[in-house]
Amino acid sequence: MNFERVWVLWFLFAVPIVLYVVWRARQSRTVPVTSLILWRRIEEKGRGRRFALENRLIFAFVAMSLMVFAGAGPRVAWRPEPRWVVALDASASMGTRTGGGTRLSRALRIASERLSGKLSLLVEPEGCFNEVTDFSLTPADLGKLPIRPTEAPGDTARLLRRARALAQGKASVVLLSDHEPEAGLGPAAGEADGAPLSLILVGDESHNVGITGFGVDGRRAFATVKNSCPEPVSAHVDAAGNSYPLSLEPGATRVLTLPATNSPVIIQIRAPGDDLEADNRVVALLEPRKVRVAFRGEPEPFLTKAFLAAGCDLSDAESADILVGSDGKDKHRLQVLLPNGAGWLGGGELRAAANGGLFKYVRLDGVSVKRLARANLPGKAEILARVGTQPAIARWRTPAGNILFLGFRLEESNWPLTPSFPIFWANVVSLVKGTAESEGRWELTGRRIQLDDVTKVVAPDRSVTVGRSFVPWLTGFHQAGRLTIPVNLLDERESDNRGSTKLAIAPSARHERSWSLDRLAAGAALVFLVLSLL
Amino acid sequence: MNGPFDAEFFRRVEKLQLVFRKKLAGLREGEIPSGKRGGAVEFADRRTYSPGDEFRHVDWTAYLRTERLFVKEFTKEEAFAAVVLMDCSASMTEKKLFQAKRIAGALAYLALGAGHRVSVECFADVPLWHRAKTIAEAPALLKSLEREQARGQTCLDKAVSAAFEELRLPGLAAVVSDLLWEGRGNVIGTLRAAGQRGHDVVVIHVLSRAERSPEVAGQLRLRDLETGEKRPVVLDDVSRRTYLVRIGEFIEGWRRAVEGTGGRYYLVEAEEPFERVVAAYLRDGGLLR
Repeated sequence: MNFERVWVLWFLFAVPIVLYVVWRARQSRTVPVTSLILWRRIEEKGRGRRFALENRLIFAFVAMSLMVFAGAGPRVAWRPEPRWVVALDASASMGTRTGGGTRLSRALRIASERLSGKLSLLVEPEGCFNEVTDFSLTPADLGKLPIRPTEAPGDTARLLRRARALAQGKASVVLLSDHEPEAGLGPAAGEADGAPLSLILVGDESHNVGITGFGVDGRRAFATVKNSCPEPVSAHVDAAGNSYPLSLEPGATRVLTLPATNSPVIIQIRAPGDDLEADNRVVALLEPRKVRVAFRGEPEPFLTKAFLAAGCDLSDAESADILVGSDGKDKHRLQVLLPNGAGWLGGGELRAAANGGLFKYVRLDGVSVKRLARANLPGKAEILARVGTQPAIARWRTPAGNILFLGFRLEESNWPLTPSFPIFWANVVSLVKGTAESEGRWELTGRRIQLDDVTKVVAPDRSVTVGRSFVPWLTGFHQAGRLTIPVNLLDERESDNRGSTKLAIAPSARHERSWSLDRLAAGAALVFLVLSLL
Repeated sequence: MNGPFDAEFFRRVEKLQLVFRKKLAGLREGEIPSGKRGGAVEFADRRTYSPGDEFRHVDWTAYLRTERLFVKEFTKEEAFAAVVLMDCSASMTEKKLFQAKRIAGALAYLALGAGHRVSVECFADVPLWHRAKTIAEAPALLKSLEREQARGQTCLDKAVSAAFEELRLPGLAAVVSDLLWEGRGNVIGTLRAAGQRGHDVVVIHVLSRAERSPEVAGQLRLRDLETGEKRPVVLDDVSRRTYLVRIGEFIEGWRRAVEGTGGRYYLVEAEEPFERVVAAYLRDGGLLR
C-alpha cells in the first residue's frame, strides 16, 4: 500500500489527543446518594449506556483515523496473474523460412518460452484461424495450435487495435510479428490504452525474390519482380513454357513483359536460397474482355437497355468500345451515329437490305419510323436497312473504326418495342466483341470472394470449404464448382523482408493493478462517524 | 436552622396524644390498665427512700422495724411500653435525620407524657439506646436525640430484633427510618411476629425529595453515602422514568409489607414542615390525635 499524501498521516497523532479532550469533557461527575439500592436497575441500564459511550468514543477514534487515512490517499497495488493478448501476425512474410522453420513457428516458440499466465490469441489476417479470446490458453498451448502462415497480406496496425480492444487495460499485449506496424505502436511507444505492449519481432535477415505486381494486357503479361536480398540474385523466370534468366541487384525492382497467349497464364520465379515461396508465382486466366459502351450526351434509354442485355458494361467515353452519339471522328471500335435532325424526310416501314450479318435473326415486320434523316453517306457505306428507297441504317469503316449510322430517332419508331431490336444490338455487340482482346482474371489472397450459390471450394492444398463465399489464404488456383479462380499474393511489404527487424523485446512488463482506497476509507469513516453520534 | 426540639416543637406536640391500637403491658400501676394479669416482678433489694419514689413500693415492714423509709427494688421489670427506633445511618441525610429526630422525639415525648417508659434506639451499625421512664426524663432524652449524628451503615433487622427484646411485653414499636435496607423480608418477618405477640407496630418512612425525584442528570458517578461504593450511571429521561417506577415500587412494597403485618405505615417527606407532618401524616393517619 502506498499513499499519495503521506504527510497527512502525521495527523493520526492528533486523533488520540482530540479524543482525550473529548473524553475528559464527557467524564462523569460524582454525586452522593443515600443508597445504591434504588439505583441498581438504573445502574445496569446505565452500564449499557456507558458501554455505548465508550463504543462511541471508539467509533469516533476509528472515524477520525479513517478520515486521516482517506486524506492521505491510500492505494493498494498488486500484480495479478499476468494476462496476455497474443497478437499473432500470420501474414505471408511470417512464412519466411530462416533457420529451418518459419518466422511464425519461431515467434510462437519464443512466446511460449517467455510468457506466463493466461493468454488470448488474435491472428491477422482476420478470419484465417479460429481465435481464442477468453484467456483460456497457456503459453504451452501456443506450440500445439494448428496455425501456419497464410499467403495473404496482413495489417499489423489493425491487429494491434483489435488486441488493445480485447485487453481493455486488463491485460498486456504482446505482438508476434516480423515488423512493427507502419503507423507505429500507439500513443506512447510500448504503452497503449493502459495496456503494456511487448514486441516479439522475428524478422531475421532473409533472402527473398518475389513478384510484387502483375497484369495482363491483351496478349502480354507484366510482372514486377523485386529482389529483397542484401546481395545480387540470379534467378529464372518461367512463363508460357519458356525460361528467362534474370539478374537483380540488391533492392532492385524490374518489370518484365512476358507473352500471355494461352490461358492459364502462369509466371514462376526460381531463385536459389529463396526463403519465401508465397510470392514466387502468379497465375491468371485469360478471358475475353467485356464490351464497354459509352454515350455522348444523355444515354439513350432503349439502347442502354439493349446493350446491358447483350452483356456490355457502361463506361466512360475514353475506354469505350462502342460510342453512341459519336460524330464519326472518335477512335473506337464502333461509333454509332445518330440523326442530328437536319433535312428530315417522311417516314415509313423499315425494311432490312439483307437477312444475314447484323440482321441475322432480326425480322422487321411491322416496324415503322415517323421521320427519316437525310443521310450523306460515303460511297463505301453498306446499306443495312431502308425506308422506302432511302437508307435508314448503314455501316462503313474508317481508320478510326467502324461506323454504324442510324437514320431515325428510336423514340419515333416502334422498333424498340419489338423483339428484333435487342437481337440486332446483340449482333452489333458480337461484331465488336469478336475483335476485343482477352484480359487476365485473378483474385488476391485475403480478400473475400462471393459465389453465386453455396459451393464447394477446393484450395491449392486440397483443403475444402463450402459456402456462398470464401477467403483464399493460399496462392494458386481455387476450384469453386466448375469455376476456376486464380489467386495471387501481390503485396510489396510481404515480399520486402528487408523491412523486418531483428528485434525481440522480452515481455517483462506486467500490468500492475491498483485500487484507490480513499473513497472506501471515507465511506467507512462516515459510517463510524454516524455510529459515534447515535 | 433551629434544633429539632425548639419551642415550636413543643407547642405542636403538647396538644397531641398518642393513639394505641392495642392495650399495652408495662404500664405503671394505677395508670392505663394492662390487659395482662400478674407480672414477672421479682424483689431484688432495698434502698433508702428518696423523693419521687413510688410511695407504694415503700417497705412498711422495714419501717416498723427500723423507723426508716426503705423502698423495695425489683430486678425486672423494666419492661418498656414504647420503643422508638430511629435510623441514624449515613443514608439519613441532614434533613432526613432532622425530621426523624423530631418524629422520634415527638413519639417519645407523647409516650412519656402518657406515663409509658420509653426507649429510643438510634440504630446504625452500632446502636445507641436512650431510655426514659418518666416525663421528667424527657428533656434529657430529647437532648440525647438531638446530639445524634448520621453514621455507619444501616442494620435494620438487628435493630428491630433488639427493639422487640426491649419490648418483652406488648408495647408500641415505632420505626423511623428511610428503610434503605435490602433485607426487607427479615424485617417484615420480625414485625409480623411482633404484631402477633401483641405489639403495636408503627413504621414511619422518611424519604427526601431528592430520593423521590432526583434532579441530577447526565453522566454521573453515584457514591453510596453508607458504603462509599461508586457506580457510573447515565441519568436521562428514560432512566429517570425507570427510577421513578423503582422508587414507587420500593415505597409501595414497604407499605404493603408493613400493613400486611398489622402495623401502621406512614410516608413522610424530609423537607415537609413539622406541623404538616404532624397534621397531614401522623394525625390524619391515626397515630396522633
